[in-house]
Amino acid sequence: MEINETRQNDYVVLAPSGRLDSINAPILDRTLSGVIERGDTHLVIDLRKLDYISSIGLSTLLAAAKKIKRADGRIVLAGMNDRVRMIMEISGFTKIFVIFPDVESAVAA
Amino acid sequence: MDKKQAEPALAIDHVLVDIFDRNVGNLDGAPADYIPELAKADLGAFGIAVATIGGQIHTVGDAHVPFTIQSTSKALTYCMALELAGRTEVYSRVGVEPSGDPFNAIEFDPQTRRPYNPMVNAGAITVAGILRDALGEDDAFAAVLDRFSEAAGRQLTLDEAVYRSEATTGHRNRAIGHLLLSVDALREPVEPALDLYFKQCSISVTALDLAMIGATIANMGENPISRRQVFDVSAVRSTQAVMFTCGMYDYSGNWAYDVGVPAKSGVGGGIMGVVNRQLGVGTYSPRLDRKGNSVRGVASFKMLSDELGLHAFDLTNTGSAFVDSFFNA
Repeated sequence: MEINETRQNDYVVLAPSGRLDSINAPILDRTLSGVIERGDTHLVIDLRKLDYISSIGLSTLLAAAKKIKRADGRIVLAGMNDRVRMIMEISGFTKIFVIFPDVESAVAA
Repeated sequence: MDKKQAEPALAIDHVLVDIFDRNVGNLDGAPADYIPELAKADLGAFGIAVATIGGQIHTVGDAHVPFTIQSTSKALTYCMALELAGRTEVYSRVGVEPSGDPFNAIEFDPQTRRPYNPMVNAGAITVAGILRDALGEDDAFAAVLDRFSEAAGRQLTLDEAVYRSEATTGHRNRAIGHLLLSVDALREPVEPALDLYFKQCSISVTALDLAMIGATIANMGENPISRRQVFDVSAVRSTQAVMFTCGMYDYSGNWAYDVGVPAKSGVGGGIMGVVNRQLGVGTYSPRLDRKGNSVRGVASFKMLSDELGLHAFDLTNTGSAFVDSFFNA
């Protein structure tokens, strides 16, 4: 899994690509933990290039959100394919995360 | 090994192929050797099968390779006993508490003098005695084989070589049988109950059969393809509860912690999992860990649970709309 990191406005934008499954979830988890621990607590997770997300992938995003909340930060999701959006909806994650159609609208909000 | 799997068509196919690829190189463990015939298994065999209650079937690897059902049969005979003898009678002779002891332990609950649960040998032999009493000495095995076959959706057969091997070398189980007599859990004569137990363990199945039987349990006792009602619906609930707490021998606590679905393993190398109202899962790989569970099977179930969110307490489990209905006007 590749995770592209950029900075836009006051946000760090992380864009994982490929499959967020039990193989790759620890990679994203380490990246998220590193970003949060260095003090960047305003994050956009750009999911445009994510093909698949499993239960453990969702768990990784939720764990990051809980850490960000404790640090009084903000984490939002942006851009996702139809399958990932469906998974977010049926697992109730659309009620947990604020989701923007794209990174531009997320960093402008 | 030929994975015998076409290009993944659905997300589940991709997940199964991925799990197969990640575990096929795991050569840890050894086949059971206390039953001589089991030591002859093809150590390279490895298959995974998933069946939905809607009748979909997805497999990877050696999902059609036969092996003997062994202790996985205990869940099914328990389900039959609950139906045929009634919950009260069965409960008076076999408990439902996890023992934490190995499958072949010669231990009874000191308070009740009953076997701890039907998933250890002592409990399963008692259940065999209950079935023998209910069905008759001559007809009990045929009834068991018919019921297992209906759940699997095809005619299953007895592996005569494994049966002879078990019956010849089952000294410890004979000792358990006589101890069960002494605490009135088993009735005379002992040998027909033991013979039924040896035979039920020697029924030949595949990983796909285990998935179909699991799907039948998940589907409130109805085979998802034939639509025949195989198991009593209330017995199915009780059976899943005991599988959840006791189904993986003295690994049951860790299994609930890591995988979180009702399951039953067998020393033949199979594991059957049930996701209530959704799926049956069967795995086969004959190399066992020290607790008697298939090494690659346990690892595969862990990964499948992580991917599909199968654990009873998984965060993707959004709860019951039925419960919600009590809180809505």
